[in-house]
Amino acid sequence: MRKRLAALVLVAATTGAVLVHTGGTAVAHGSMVWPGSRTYLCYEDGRAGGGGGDLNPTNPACVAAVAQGGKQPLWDWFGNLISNAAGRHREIVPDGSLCGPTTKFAAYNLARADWPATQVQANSTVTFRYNAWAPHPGTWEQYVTKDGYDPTKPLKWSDLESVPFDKVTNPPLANGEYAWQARLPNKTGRHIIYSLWQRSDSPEAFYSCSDVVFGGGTGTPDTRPPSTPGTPVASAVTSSSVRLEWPASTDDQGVTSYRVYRGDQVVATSATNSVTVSGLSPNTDYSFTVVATDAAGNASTASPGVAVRTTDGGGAGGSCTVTYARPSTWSGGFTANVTVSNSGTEAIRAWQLVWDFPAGQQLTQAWSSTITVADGKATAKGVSYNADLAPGGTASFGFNATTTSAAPANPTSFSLNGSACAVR
Amino acid sequence: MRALLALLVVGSVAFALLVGRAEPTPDLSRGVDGIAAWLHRLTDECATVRRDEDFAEFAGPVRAKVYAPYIAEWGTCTKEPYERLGLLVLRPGLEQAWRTALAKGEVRGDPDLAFGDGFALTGSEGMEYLGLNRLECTPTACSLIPIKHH
Repeated sequence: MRKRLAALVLVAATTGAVLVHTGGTAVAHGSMVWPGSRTYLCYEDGRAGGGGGDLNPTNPACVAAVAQGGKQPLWDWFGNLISNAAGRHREIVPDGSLCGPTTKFAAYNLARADWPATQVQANSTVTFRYNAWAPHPGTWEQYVTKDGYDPTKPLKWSDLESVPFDKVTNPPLANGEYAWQARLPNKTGRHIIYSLWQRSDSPEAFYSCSDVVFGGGTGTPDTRPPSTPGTPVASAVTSSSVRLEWPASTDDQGVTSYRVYRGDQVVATSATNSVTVSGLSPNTDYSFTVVATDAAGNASTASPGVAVRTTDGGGAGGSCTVTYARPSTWSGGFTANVTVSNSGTEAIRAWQLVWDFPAGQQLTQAWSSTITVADGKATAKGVSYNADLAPGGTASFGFNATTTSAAPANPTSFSLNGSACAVR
Repeated sequence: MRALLALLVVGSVAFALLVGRAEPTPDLSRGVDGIAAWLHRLTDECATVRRDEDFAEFAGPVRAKVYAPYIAEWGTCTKEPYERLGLLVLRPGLEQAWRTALAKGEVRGDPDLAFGDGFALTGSEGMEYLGLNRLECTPTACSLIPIKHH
């Protein structure tokens, strides 16, 4: 009897919990996913470059946006909003801030012509798709930029056609997306489709800039990825670089770029089916794969890998020097500052510095790098603005750690991308 | 059968009230872990805290310049829809710093944080169920506004 009672209470409690959590999802957040908004396509680009666990976009505009605004706007790509807009868009969003009206998303106002864009066909009927977490009443207005729009100049309200070419209230929601049909306007070339979602049950409004290129598309969402690139062939192998060439991919809308991966790190990009990867270490085994992408951001599956061993170049490439200092030590912890220098003649891309991290130490905070600790080793990677080391270049970073040692010893050896460094 | 139904209703309501009392009271003596434990208790998410990120890389240099001096400790966890929700243990002074930056034209609008007592989360979606507030700021004053459920 007692067991049955406990089971009943458990069922009741679970029911209550479900009720509470169901209520907890009834909030709107979203962004245009077709044609993809800047935040969404940069997020997808970042995911492709980040190997799934991080965001490392490769599109130059996305890279610039992350350098200016950090990665959080991409993690939160669906949250480009003003809480108390209440329809006052033109009053509270100044010219130049239409694509990112708040400080958090301001980087998505950068006036550039290389944001990821979606190919569309003028005058065609398409299905707009807008990500949402829950249904909420409201109205979406879609504007397009006027003829003669210049993407290298800040977007102004007067750059938009005066009336929306599409407007919808309470469109159907399915599978986490609002979707509705719309007829695209008669335009040619590069434009912005500007989407405003004003909720009717709240003053909250969402802002979304989708870069599109009219002409050359089918008018339907391009969700088909390019074919898988062929197996790369390595040539011109040196102590610090290798040339890779691979059979090209095909795509119904055209392949726009290739990314070369070493593990989950993008080490090179190319608009053609060949590239030279540099910044490698002598006498080191590498494996590379290639992924093709199209204008809509669709990515192919990875090509088969190619294994390469760099030559013994007498240390001409990949040479490095590390300076490790502890400017502050206290009972139970310390601050360390680290500077890594590329003393070689080739750039080192996507650097990773590894050193021993004793069991009694625990990382608490890092800056100017991403540090992970596993199996007694610390691995520091550069962040967006210092991920590559030019010849003669340096990157400085630091961290705080706790320690059980009264007198923690400094590390005595470091390796940069697998190559030992001199320690000063 | 009737008693069983009554028990189900009473149990549901009691549990809903218990869980629904989303008071912003994490144990800040435990720092970020205290916020994560509180959030996990309320939402069954945010089970693992990441601490290996640079705040400037996460928030960008503009916001990091304003926020970072007032963050005693921070980390991120996953709470839908956020793959990386920032958990911030705050020091006093962030509001004044935002107003100063606003007056200088370095930032626009309001801080993009959901505030509790001595801590903040970087999200906006779902924050109304956690008893959190947002700040509406002008260069001269900020108002703490409870985040409402619509």
